[in-house]
Amino acid sequence: MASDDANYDDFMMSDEEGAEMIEMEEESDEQPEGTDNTGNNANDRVDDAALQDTYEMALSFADDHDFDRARQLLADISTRANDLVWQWKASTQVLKTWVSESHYNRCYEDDIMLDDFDALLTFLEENMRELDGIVLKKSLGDLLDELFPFMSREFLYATELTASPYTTMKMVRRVNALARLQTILDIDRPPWAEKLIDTVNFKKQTMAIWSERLQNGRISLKDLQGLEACCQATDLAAAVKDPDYTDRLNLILQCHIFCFMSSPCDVNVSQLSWFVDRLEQLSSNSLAIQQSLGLMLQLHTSKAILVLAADMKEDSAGDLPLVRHVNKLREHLWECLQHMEEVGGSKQEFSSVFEKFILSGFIFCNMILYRSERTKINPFDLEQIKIAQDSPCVTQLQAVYHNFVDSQLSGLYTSIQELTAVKDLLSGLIDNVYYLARLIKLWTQIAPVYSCIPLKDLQQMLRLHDNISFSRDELLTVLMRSIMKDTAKTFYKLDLTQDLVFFGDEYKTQLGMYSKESFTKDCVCKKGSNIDWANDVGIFQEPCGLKNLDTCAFFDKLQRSRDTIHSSPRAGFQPANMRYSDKYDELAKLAKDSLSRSR
Amino acid sequence: MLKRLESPICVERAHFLITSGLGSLTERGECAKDAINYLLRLGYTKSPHWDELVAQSGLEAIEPIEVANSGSKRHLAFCKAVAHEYPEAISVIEATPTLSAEFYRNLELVAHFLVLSKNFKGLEELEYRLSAIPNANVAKEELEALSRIQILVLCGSYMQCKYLEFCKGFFKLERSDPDFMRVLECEHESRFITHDELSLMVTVSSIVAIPFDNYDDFLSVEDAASIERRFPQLVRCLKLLTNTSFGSFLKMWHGSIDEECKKSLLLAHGWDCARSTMRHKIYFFYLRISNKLTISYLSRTLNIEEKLVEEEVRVLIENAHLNFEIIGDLIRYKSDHFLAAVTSKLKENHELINQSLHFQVSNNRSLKNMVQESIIGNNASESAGNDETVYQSPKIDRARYAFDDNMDIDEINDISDVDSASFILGNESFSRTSGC
Repeated sequence: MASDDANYDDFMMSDEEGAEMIEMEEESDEQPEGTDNTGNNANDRVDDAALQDTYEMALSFADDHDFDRARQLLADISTRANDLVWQWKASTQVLKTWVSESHYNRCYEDDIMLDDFDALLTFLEENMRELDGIVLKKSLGDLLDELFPFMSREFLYATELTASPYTTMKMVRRVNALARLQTILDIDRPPWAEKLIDTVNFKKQTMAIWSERLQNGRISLKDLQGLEACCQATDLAAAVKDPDYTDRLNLILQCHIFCFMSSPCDVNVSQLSWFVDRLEQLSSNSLAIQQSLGLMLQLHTSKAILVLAADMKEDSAGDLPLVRHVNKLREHLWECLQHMEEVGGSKQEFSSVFEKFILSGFIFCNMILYRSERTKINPFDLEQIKIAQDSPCVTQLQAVYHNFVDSQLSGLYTSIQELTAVKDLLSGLIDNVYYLARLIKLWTQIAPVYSCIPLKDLQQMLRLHDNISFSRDELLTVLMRSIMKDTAKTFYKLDLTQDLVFFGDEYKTQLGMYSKESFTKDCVCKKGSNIDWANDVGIFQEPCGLKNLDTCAFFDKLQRSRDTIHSSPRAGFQPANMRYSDKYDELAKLAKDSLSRSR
Repeated sequence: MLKRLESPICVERAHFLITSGLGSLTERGECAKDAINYLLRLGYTKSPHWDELVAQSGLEAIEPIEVANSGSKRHLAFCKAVAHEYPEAISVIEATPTLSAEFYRNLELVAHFLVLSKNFKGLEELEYRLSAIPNANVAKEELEALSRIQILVLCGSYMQCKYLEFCKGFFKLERSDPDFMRVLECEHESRFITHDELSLMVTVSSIVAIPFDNYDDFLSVEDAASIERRFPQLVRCLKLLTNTSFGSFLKMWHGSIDEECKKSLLLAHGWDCARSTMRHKIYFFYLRISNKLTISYLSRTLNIEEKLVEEEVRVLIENAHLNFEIIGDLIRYKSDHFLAAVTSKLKENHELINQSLHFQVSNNRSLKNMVQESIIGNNASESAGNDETVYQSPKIDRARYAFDDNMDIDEINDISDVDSASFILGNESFSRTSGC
């Protein structure tokens, strides 16, 4: 139980909280002076002086951490004073002593505190109209910040985080207390409380989401949607001014990350991307946001999730769920790693699912990009990872990495299967790794060695595991794609009647005998047989290097390549005089004519 | 579908739908009624499709009407177009004074008629007339009309199976104004081509025009995200193709896309060509990677009838002059040299040359005998110098033009590579000398 409570304290407190609290107490000292003007007659004033003395005494007790005595004095004030303002002040101060006490003594008398808060609410309910709005607004605002701080050190998506029934019960009480405050304020909706209502509402939503998360291990979609709707209704200009706005975004992103971590297919991509965009807009103009702890981690994680989710949704093809933007993904995950170091400090061991997810994702991206990269940095040499090089997660990943580099397919498979925590989250990326590993094995270890091999044997050789078959279609796809993408290191031809593959440059043969010029010439001769048709079918060598253009340039370049180069049908070897193939025919005919004429 | 459409295309679309036999009977009947109503509003029913429309509509005994020359020139032009007298319709519009205020709107009508009459040449010429940049204070309607004409010109390239040209033009228009397709969105009473039709044209054209090897590049162009948003079908197809799931792709190609294209008057025209070209493209890809394969295999994996596969592969091999042959079910690579086709002709020529050489030799021999006889007969001391020249000239000719039996092909290559004319010149000199 004790450890549970400590855990609970952890996420009830933020780092900045202590500092803020002390500041606030100093401020609250000034309050009585400000409100002095409200007391009018002389009796009151005498009373006031006495009360003021007691009040100050109570504060000094509180400063000396003698909280019990301070509370006694304050309770005394409440009963002695007829003035509502004094009663209010004393009650709020009682609550503050509870907060300070829990802060300094690391123990949390939640129940009593919440009882006191309830009492305060009852008082407020009865007397709200008589009390001065400005005072209420300020003291309530302060109180809320202290009693229900925004949690920035613990994240919703830390799936390991659980709570005892006792803690969750307290959570529920908090939610109820806030709900009550909300209703009280809602009755009159006094003008001074407008902002306060927002804050209360947000705090209630936060508490509700946390409570649902801790209690049932899921995100309450209703609360999340409420939060989202509220954020989406605010335009950018208003969002910049609203101090709670980033906290809201933070919580929303956390919710989405949690959803992804618990069930990767359930991410609401459109919503998430909206909030990512919004946060990016905000953070581009604000250094404070850029440096706020955790928020940037959330942002980059969300971006990485978006990349992963975009490819996961491509169910249509089925056979090759390749992640298209590995480069981008790696960038985001790298940012995450760096931010994780900031958040997690030095105790980083990649033990939580979230940390494993980020690290494994990053390593997989590195593996996928390993071949195409000029600088072959071993990711395990990076400072952020080296720091935990003996942790079980890093050791496992190292095994994966080595198996990959050595093209040990079954080893690769077994080592990846051991990453139970993340293998479902990263399934798209993992398929990509398998695909690439097969490709590498095929072109570096099999193709150069064999001149002819049955497809069946190839299937066997490219199997990941004895129990997992590699279908003929999958193999053909691998082979065909390598032709399409021009990644085949060795030329090959298939014999689809006997299911054989022949490797070797001698199979680079001329496919057709008809040059581009011939097509241009007889566009009239046969229906459908003209140069446009030949180009569309792809009879001629096609241009490569159309990467990273815009659509307009893409088609321009395509057209240009059709117009100019590659005049002979595609093949490996190209006889130099091929392009005149039709001329020879003409020439022979001319010669024949003149010969017969000369007879 | 055709309701409130005030343009001759309404009639054509209705007729197209009726003859295509697509859609339900009532649907077709509705379209026919819409078209008839339009014609009645127009006051001119002399369309060649009139009888069919009436028959399909199920309406009874509608009196054909023909109000001559009532109303504006526009009205007259529409009447002409309804009667399929497109050149007349165009000249009616062109005859109106080129009021700059309605210049493009008039041209738009011309473009409509050109497309309806499938006069693509005219459409291309029309495009030149657009090159004059409209001045800045042209009305918004005029600018929209201009955009629509440009779209119609593109439509022309699609209908002529010039898919790459279409794509190029489309994305060029888009770059100059990313939102240009909005001109099709409005419920214009004389709308000619719909937003969906144009999108489908983009989809079909891109799939056909982009080479297999570049699909991936296209999917990662800079504005890929916006393409994916606007042409989801295109992206889906391309992803299937890059994953070599030809079967699933063709299922879409022959399924939903086929259905949509066949239904549209404008799309159907270029669709047959696109559909078979795409199949050719896939067959060719298979030929690229294999030495031997069977028609039944292709038919199975691509889910196309065997008969059609055989016919189309045969056409492909013939039209593209590919080095493959079909033996029964088997399609097999047949090694060939690019001069193979010429050899028979060269052999014939070889024969011819040999013949004339023999002829020359015997000629020379008889000449020589003749000369020798006359020398013997004559006084030997008289004219020795003359004899020498006569005796030597045939020998020179022989050395220059007689090819020996092991004639080298490369030699011909060398000659022809430099300049084929020189060979013809050589030929002439040959005939001249041999004629001597």
